[in-house]
Amino acid sequence: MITRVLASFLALALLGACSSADRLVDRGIAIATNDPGQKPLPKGQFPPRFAALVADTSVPLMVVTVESRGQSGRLLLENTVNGIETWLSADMSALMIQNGMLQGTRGVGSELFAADISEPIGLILSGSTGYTDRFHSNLTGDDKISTRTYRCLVENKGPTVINLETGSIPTRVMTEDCKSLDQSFTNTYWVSSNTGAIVQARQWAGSELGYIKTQDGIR
Amino acid sequence: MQERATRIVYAAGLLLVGITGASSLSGQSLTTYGTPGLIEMPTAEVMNDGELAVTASAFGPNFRYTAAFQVLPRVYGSFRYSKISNIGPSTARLGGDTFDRSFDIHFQMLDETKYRPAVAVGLRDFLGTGILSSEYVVATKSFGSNIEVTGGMGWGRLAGRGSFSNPLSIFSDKFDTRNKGSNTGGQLETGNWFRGEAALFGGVKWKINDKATFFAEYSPDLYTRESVNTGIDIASPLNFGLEYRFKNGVNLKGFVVGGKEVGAQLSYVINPAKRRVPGGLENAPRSVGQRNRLAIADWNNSEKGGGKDAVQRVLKSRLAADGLALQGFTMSGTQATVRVENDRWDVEAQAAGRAARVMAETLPPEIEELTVVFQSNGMPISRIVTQRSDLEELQFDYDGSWRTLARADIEDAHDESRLGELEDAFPVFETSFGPYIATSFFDPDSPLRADLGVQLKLAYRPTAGLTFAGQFRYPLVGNIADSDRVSNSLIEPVRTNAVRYAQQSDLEINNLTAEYMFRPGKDLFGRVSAGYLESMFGGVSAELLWYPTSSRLALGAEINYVKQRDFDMLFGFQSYDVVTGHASAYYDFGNGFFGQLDVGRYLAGDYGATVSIDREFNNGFKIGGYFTLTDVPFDTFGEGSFDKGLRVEIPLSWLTGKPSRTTVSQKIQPITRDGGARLIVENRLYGVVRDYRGKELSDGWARYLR
Repeated sequence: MITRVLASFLALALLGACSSADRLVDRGIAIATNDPGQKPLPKGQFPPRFAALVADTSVPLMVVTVESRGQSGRLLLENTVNGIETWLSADMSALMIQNGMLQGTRGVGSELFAADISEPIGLILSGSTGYTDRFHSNLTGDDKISTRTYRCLVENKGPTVINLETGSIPTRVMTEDCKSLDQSFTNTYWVSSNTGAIVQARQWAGSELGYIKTQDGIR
Repeated sequence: MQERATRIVYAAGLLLVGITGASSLSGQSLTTYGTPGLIEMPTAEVMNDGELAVTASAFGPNFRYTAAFQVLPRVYGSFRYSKISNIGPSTARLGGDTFDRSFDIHFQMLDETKYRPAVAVGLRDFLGTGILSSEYVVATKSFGSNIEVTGGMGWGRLAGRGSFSNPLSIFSDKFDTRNKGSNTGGQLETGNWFRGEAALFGGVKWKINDKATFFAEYSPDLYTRESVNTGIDIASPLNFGLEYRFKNGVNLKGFVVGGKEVGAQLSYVINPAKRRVPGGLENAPRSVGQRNRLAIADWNNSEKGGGKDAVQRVLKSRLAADGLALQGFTMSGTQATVRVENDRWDVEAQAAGRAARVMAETLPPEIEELTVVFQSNGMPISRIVTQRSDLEELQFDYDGSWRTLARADIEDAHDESRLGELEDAFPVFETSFGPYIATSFFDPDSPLRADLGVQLKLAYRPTAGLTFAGQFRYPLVGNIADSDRVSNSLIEPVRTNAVRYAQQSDLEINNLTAEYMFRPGKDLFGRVSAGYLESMFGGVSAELLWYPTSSRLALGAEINYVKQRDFDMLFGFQSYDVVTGHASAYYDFGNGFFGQLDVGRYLAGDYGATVSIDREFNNGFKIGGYFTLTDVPFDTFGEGSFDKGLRVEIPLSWLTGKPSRTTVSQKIQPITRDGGARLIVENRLYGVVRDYRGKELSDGWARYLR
């Protein structure tokens, strides 16, 4: 009996460790619970909302890499409201970007619900050094909003030239070193010397997701 | 937060071990009894508030399966199913094996401070037949971050080796003697607690590194009752164990009890307050606020055939894409209302937010006030009124959740008319076909029995509120019908004939009913159901619920006249009939605790009351228990003395990260008897209504903008 118990426990434990098995287990649950769920689309086919953006070749593109997952993808700009851009991914998750800075995430598995980054934006875009505050609210695993304030030091690290899909671009490197009581992170921004806009950034999206790298891309 | 509850063959906790990849460690080690401690001995530790631990352990003749739940920061309780092989002579029933269900409770009286140890008192198996019964007072002190020392005094099982006369005898001579096996189980054995001789126990826990922990303990438990027939050999009071923690959070422990008995156990601690995927994996909502672009959209442009009908078409398809079925739509002046049925979102506030967003993203620019009415089976429950400009302003605000809640109105929707009802809103025809698993626990011959088969569900709703529904099952494989347990009930066998139902049926008509749900007035809800209400009974049922939208309290009354169905689960009835019904009070205590009191007459004609308490996490994960006391005497009731049970309900979205109204639920009754048995009726009103009332909506508001 003990071997049987052990075997079933271990099998389950192993499944837990592996992500493709995870999906298998998910499907198993869906079948066992008779849940209609949302049917996955056939391979190579985009959901209509994303397909509409793909069809319009004037829609801007951004290259995004989630470092902790070794994942990268190409996001398309869905719209801009009150200066906040919604960049949609083919899996219907999205990043909210304000002046090149990460303002929020949706559906990436850990939620930076929204950030108030009005203070650091000014320093970063103007190339100034100084202290600022930023505010994050996260959606927790218990469906509650938790808010934190970070004290940040913004510094100008000088010029460098970076290579993007859009070409070789002279930039100014800005860092933003942030701390709260229990968390700390350092964001890095590359501000184009030509346009004054952020063309590349490496930003922290929360303790579970870690750093996200964003770069201007071309269609 | 459930509409379709599905039963799963595994105890839900065991299933979680496999699929909860991310670890949620509490730094706790669990004993063979599945509660915090060393190897067998308890410590004064507790788990983190709300945590749920599942453990399976085996050594010698002992097999223990335990679920422990940290009910309050200082209190945990546990339920255990255990087997002791060959404790009786092999000629006895079941070859001398014994199966037992037991409950423990542990209370931490003092926290650990710099100089003072944590101190706790606990009762093991305080409600069962008493084989595992013991009581203890224990103190635990940590030295540095890696060593913990525990010492305590125990009674009952824990007063074996080195026992001495009970120090509590100074208070009363009564503490000198402890009775053995005095009742049919299930009653509080208060007469035995802390009675009889006492003994000391103790031990050390040494955390070698993040993964490995070593245990050594002195155990006074001699396994006296077991040693006669099982051959368990307790040669020494010293037990040793080594635990290894896997990356995914599973703990594997190997140990030696009594110097010779080698054992192993697996355990896992779940934190219900943390969804597997915080925030969820569902699609990002569309941002709103480009009203000028909407002004020239085809459906809003009368020159291109736009107008209310065109708007309604777009609205309907966009709501459907978000799992919301549009049933009614009105638009006039600066105000628009949608009446929707939520088919997808387990957090109802999120459904409200999605509906409001679809409106803001579709309707002509002059519309400012957005009203979302939630309906269930066509019956309006509540409405949420949001200003479009608030949504536009706050959708990316870092305090948007609180600020939108402050600006929204949640109202009772009793006066909602059927104006603007979509022509194709009714009739609704729903079918679902798929597998099902039915389980039967704790039959000593085979503690886990299950049937696997196919299930067809049909529902036809010709008009709002009126539903004809049926559920049909056909078992394909399984062993529930193999049981030879026959009813030995001394009262009307309303539940104990379950095996006969399984044996004599083929195609099962589980239910086949006509149901009408309606709003008799403000804050009032009504339901009338008739037909084959459940597998064992059919008849008529009527219910009334009073539930103001912002209230923590709801009151209900239900009356039923039912007749017992034939064992073949088809159309015939047996001769037994009964009038049964309850008056119910439901109360939300806050902090996730919900209470329910039902007073009335049960299926066997007995009168009594059921008390239920659930702890429900904000994400919908629910753990609770109930007990029922009726005028059936304990002796007449039979094994267990009275009806009681535990229940766990896990939203499917908690497991998968995708929104769904399906829940995985499991009720565990140590034993099912005929006293205190309640009629099962689909769609009892409180369950239908609560999710859409003010308290639940505002509790879920963190997801309004998600």
